[in-house]
Amino acid sequence: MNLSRLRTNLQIPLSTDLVYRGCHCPMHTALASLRHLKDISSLVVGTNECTYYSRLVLNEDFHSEKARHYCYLMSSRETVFGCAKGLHEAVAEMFEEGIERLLIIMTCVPALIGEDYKSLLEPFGERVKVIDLSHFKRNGYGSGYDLLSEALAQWFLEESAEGFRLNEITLLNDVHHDFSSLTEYQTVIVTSTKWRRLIKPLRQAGIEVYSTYNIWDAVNMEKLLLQVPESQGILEISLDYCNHRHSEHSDLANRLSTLGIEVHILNQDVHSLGLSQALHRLGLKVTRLHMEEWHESEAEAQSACLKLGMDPEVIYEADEVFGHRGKVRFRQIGFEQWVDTPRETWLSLCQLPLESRLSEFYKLMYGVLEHFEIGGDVNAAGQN
Amino acid sequence: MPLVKTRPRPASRIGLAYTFLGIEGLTVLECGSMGHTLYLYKEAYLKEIEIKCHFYSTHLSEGDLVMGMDQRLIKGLRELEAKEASASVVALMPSSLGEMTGFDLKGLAQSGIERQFKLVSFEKGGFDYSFEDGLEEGLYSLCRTLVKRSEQAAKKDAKVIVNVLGGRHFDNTLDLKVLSSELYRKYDCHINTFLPLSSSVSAIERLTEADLNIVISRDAIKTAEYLKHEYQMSYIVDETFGGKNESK
Repeated sequence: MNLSRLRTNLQIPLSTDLVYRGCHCPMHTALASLRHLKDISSLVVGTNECTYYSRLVLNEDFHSEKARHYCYLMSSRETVFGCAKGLHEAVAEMFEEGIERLLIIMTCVPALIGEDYKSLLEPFGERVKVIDLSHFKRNGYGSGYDLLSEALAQWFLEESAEGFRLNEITLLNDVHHDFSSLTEYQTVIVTSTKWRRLIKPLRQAGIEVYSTYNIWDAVNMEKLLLQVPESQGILEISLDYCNHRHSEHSDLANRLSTLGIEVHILNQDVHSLGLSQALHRLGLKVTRLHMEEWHESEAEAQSACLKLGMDPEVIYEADEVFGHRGKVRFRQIGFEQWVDTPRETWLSLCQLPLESRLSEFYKLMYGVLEHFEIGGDVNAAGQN
Repeated sequence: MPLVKTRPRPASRIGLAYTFLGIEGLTVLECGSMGHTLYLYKEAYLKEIEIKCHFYSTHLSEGDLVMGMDQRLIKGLRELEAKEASASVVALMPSSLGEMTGFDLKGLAQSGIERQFKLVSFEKGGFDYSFEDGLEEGLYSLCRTLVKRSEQAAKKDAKVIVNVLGGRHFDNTLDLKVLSSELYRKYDCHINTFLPLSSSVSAIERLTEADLNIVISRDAIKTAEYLKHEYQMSYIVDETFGGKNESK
């Protein structure tokens, strides 16, 4: 499946017919994120497999005064006839215990039988949200973050005071868990791919939102700084810094483009469409791209890639032993030998502030250049 | 009331998986979500259970659930042949999604397609079966498929050779060293294999070289009965090992 033809998540093929160890399901990431949200309760609905394993991630250890984390174990009868009555009683019992908000997580079997929980739980009003995290509808776990953040946005945006923004700007990153405070800001900068689905609802609420998780080169960084001058302070970068990066970028692009290097981006931590644009501008040919999930919010980045003339193959790299999940791989076109940069390198790059991330990224790319010019060690350059 | 406020008891699929964990040389192909397979690794890691077999998953998509999982599984088996040349026995582990769509693993295992490995299918992977049912079926089906009638091995001494069957509890990981010394003290015997705690495909094939089976948990009684009926191997039941306080 090529990027230009990609329209739905289901089109992304698994890289293998046989998965070794594999990847987590979206229930896992949603439950892991819920650990940090103190006032939100959860109810995992499913058969024994999912409910049992869900307790490895979120269990009674994370209960608080207003939050309980339980599961609803479907019987074999309910997998045929539905669990409307039992679920209604279970939710009522949870509210009797004093919880305030409840997130119901549908796993594979309830999603397969297609019971309409949203209308079933209407009597409980906006206190209950339902998200469908069945694994058979996607390959990866990204939608655990995506659908959770959409549900959170519905809650906190409903409660926020409209039109009044107390503070100027904030970052929405991996460690941000107080989502209700986001509405107090005029501008929000999203630095983590986890919360990309909050961009749309925040914008709809009148908040200016920009993202940095998809910025991997000086061109895009400069665009952001020009759009949001005050972000220079919070991101601790300046236009001077950008100019410096520009000259570095041109030097790298001039030298790399003569070598004819192709790239496979098989890492799940980076925003692969953003990184592929940066690599393309450096004169590299991205031929294969790992994509956790496709969503309409990616359409803009997808179209930017296509405008640059790229059309890589899109896959979900799942295999951990025989495959290359997590790596970004480089080789000269026409040669067999790949040069791999490991997942750890890219994970640590993603976690750096924007300025350091770009510095380290360019260092890594100089490492790639040296390797193909004189046989240097790519990864040693990336770690310096 | 199906609202569970603590941790649900594991069901048969996890019992099956626990049976396979300690069997070296066994390849397991889970016909379901790869998320489950990864959780299995995570739980084994948390409980400090050594994984001796190789677990794979087919994963599945909406299309597979509508059109059937046959093609996905057949492709998976083909890839397994290419990737694991040494695989001799492949256990096809069911899941509740497969059970809901009525996927016939047994039919596939018995389809007669020539493969480099033997396929073993299991049925109790979905609803209404307990953890212990899974353990029971896991042991029984493996033994039924793999055990061979063998010549009695030449004895080193007069001591009895035994197979230790069962002992894979959910909440209690038995310490094999402690168990061995207790068995030795109590029965003065040589131990052929601990099935399923620490065994291998070849040890299961040679199960009949032992003189006696010692069953240390109820889930192994069906297997012991089978071995008695088919191979005239006597067994004794001794459930005194691995009390709850003896966890590792």
